[in-house]
Amino acid sequence: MSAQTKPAPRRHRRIGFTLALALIAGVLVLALWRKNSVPPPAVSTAGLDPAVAQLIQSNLAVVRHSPRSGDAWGRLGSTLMHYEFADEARQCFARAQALAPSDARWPCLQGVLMLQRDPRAALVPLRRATELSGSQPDAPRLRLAQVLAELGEHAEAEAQFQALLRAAPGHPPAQLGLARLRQAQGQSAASTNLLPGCLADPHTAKAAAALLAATLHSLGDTTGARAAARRSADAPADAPWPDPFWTEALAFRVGRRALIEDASALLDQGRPDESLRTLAAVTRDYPEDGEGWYLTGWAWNQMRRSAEAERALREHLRREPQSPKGHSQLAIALLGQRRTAEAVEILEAALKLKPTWRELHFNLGYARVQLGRDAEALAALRAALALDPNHVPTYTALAEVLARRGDREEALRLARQAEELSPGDPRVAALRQRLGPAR
Amino acid sequence: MLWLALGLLAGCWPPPATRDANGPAAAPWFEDFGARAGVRFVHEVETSGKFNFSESMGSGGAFLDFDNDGRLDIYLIHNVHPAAAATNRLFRQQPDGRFADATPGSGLDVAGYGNGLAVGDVNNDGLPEVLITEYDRVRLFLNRGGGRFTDITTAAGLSNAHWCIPAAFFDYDRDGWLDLVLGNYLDVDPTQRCPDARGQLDFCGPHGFHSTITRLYRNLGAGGAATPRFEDVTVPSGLSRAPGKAMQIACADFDGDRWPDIFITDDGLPNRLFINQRNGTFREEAVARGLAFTGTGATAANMGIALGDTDGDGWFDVFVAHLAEEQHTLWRQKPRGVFQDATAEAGLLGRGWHTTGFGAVFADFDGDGALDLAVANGLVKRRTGPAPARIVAGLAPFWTPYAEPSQLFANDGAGRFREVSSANPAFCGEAFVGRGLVCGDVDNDGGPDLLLTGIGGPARLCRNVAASRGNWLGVRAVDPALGGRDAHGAEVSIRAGGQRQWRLAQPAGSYASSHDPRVLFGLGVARRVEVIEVLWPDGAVEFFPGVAAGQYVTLRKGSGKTTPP
Repeated sequence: MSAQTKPAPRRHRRIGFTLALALIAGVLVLALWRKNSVPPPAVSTAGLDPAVAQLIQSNLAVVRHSPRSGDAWGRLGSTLMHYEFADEARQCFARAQALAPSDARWPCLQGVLMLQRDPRAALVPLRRATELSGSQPDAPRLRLAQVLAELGEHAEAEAQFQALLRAAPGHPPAQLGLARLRQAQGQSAASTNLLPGCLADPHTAKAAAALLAATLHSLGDTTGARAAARRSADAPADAPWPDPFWTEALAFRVGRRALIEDASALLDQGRPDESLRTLAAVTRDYPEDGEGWYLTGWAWNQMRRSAEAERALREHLRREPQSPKGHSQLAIALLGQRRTAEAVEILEAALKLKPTWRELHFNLGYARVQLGRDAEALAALRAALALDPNHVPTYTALAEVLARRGDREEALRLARQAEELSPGDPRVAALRQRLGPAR
Repeated sequence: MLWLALGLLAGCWPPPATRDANGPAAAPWFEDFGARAGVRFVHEVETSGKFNFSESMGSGGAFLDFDNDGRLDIYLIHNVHPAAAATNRLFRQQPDGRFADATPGSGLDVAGYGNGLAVGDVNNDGLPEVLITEYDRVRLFLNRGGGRFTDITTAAGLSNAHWCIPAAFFDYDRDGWLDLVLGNYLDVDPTQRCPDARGQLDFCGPHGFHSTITRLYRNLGAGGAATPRFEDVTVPSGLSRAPGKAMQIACADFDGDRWPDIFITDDGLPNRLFINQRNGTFREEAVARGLAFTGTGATAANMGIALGDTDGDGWFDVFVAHLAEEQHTLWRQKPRGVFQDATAEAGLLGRGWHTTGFGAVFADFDGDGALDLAVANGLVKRRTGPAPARIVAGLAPFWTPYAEPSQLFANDGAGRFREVSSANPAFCGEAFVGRGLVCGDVDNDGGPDLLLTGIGGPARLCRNVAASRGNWLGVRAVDPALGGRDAHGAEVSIRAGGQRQWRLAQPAGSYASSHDPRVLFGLGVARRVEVIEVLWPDGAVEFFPGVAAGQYVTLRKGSGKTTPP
């Protein structure tokens, strides 16, 4: 038995020894691994918007848990960069690049972060991001080319713009970049020739029209320059060129300010229904925030849902009783419900708070007209005109009231001025027709 | 999107570097002279704790010779409730170079939400009037002589309920009477609150507030004892057609037709350039002439303006200060009437200290014949990183997170600038919330001195003590037919040492400020100016004979020759 059982302890000892060795090796590897791990930057989240603080803390926790994950570091950097932790974000991106050297996202965002402070230093990560990205996505190369052009490194900027055009012939921002280089080099004709494609592209149309105005002016075509300048002024803002890295980073914007900015942007774009979804989160998570209620009221007013608008705006005014914009929108909500007398009271109160707003005077004039108080309406409309002599509806409203009161000559004069401001405006044309010919 | 990123990152950078970006600097150009000179003024601002936008815009300052004694005096304003005890201060320079408080009884001892100053003789009696721009009004004070001023705003027909920052007197219709342009900023909602990215309250920016129109008032020309009268010509002049958010105004001939135009920097919008059509109207042409956007096609928070010929080609260039997260811009004029962003080639892109600039001045501080650059800095959003090493004594604690050091840049003579801030501790060493920057030769020694104004802190008078300063010539251009007043808008050129130099005699500039109406030329080693040419505001050109360096000369319109010597 003993002869048979003897080998077992030896085998056990051997196994135990092997396990111990493995454990020691594991501990050593772990120690070495931990030694080579860098702790995340110290970030104080005290006093921050709770949603922001929570996001930062959770991304810090991910880094602590996976300190050798480039992705974790990059996400932490992408978070911090939105909340004025620029130094800490830079550290994170640097670490992300060290851990994931083939990932173009982190040098690209590092470059974006450095651009404002030191564009020349930003060239290093942007070059790296460009190298890693190749031809797609093209946003890093485009940024690099634009920074080079701004720094006066025209030859290298041109090479990068040409690379973009080789990969995607007609690439509008690259064409625009080249056109800017030509103009800077005094080659206005060459610059002009590069612009047609850009003028038709939503990412470059406005900027291209502005550049066209300058090139045409340099070529002596002042009429064309004026037309191009007008075209630029009338064009909507250029859409940003798609940048998947930046889009991904934007997902780390959270909290009250991000929600308000997003909702405001949607309202500016005439998308009130979508903005209301975002604003619901604001009024839910930040119920004492006056701005959220104001924007909600404004959105409902845009959708002509006056009763809902009134409710939201009264919530706003409960928090911000001196708010002229709140009064203004509330008056619109009341007018929408044909509660004109109440609207007049609200507008009069608003004007005590903000006497220089044309909008308040104009709406007051309109409301008084509805109530048949023409003399008082005239005063309000005249005040609106004095503050903003470019507002065509004020001219037409004023002319209508004057004509009704028998002052046809003055009404005609105002109608002519409105025509000068807005030639071909059908409302003005209709007014002129009603007023008849000048004597 | 990039703008959004840049906006989010505002004010989050490390403190300024301790050395200049482009190598070592020379001996200092300035010494702090204010306390010794008797200019004791600490700017007061109504700090509500609600971060009202208007609190952050500061107040400019003025150099003026209100008593015509040949010595520059100083006027400084507060930004407080009109009923506050803190009244604006007028300092009169004594023969010994010290300043005495001449405020009591002057009529300028008023309080208000003061932002800007403009100085000009509107009734052609040889004495300069003072205009104050405020948050909710402007006020014009008639200089009655003997250090007495009277508020004639209403009687003069001036009325401006908007928030106005810059203003300038200039003669747009060449009738010999100074007209007035008022740069209205934006129509602010005072209840608007603007938390920063972290959720903490801070000052708002211009986004989201309505633009306003810049107003033009034509001087109706009541001379003698009559009260000056102005007519609002904003609409017929065409200025109302292009509203904006005016931060500063520069009146000069931007297209070379000898008629004064109006350049306006706009906050967060394309700049405006109103070209004088010579018939009482203006046409906006900033885009076509290259001044609306930076070279990358971007709009920016355009603030203070400096005008000057930085590369000696005979045409003035335009510098505009921007936010820390943007780049300041220098537009060079080439050819005449067309401007191109030359910031990079001028060496102004890679600044060692990246700051938010307001007041800006081109002047030849070292007298070498090339215009140098000074910039007054101060944040508009609270700094989130470490504070600068040194903060100016007396700065209200609330404003410390907004303090930044001022900057100086030396021109190498070929139009390339090198930062020399670290060699100039008197001007650049202590951070404060800089806004106004005023240039003038306070001690008449031929060296341009500087007056800095900042929010909630002491005004600082910096005297030029550049040891290696070259020779110089000072010129005052006056028109005897207009009461001997300074010829606002006169362009003065000289030839000396084989070099031609150009200056504009227009005190309105920088940020919300009014400079010395005289012009100064640095001559380097040249001991004599060969010829002086004056392009008068009415378009006439006269040549004046050469003079020895080291003096001020007064050039009277009509006493020169119409052909070059």
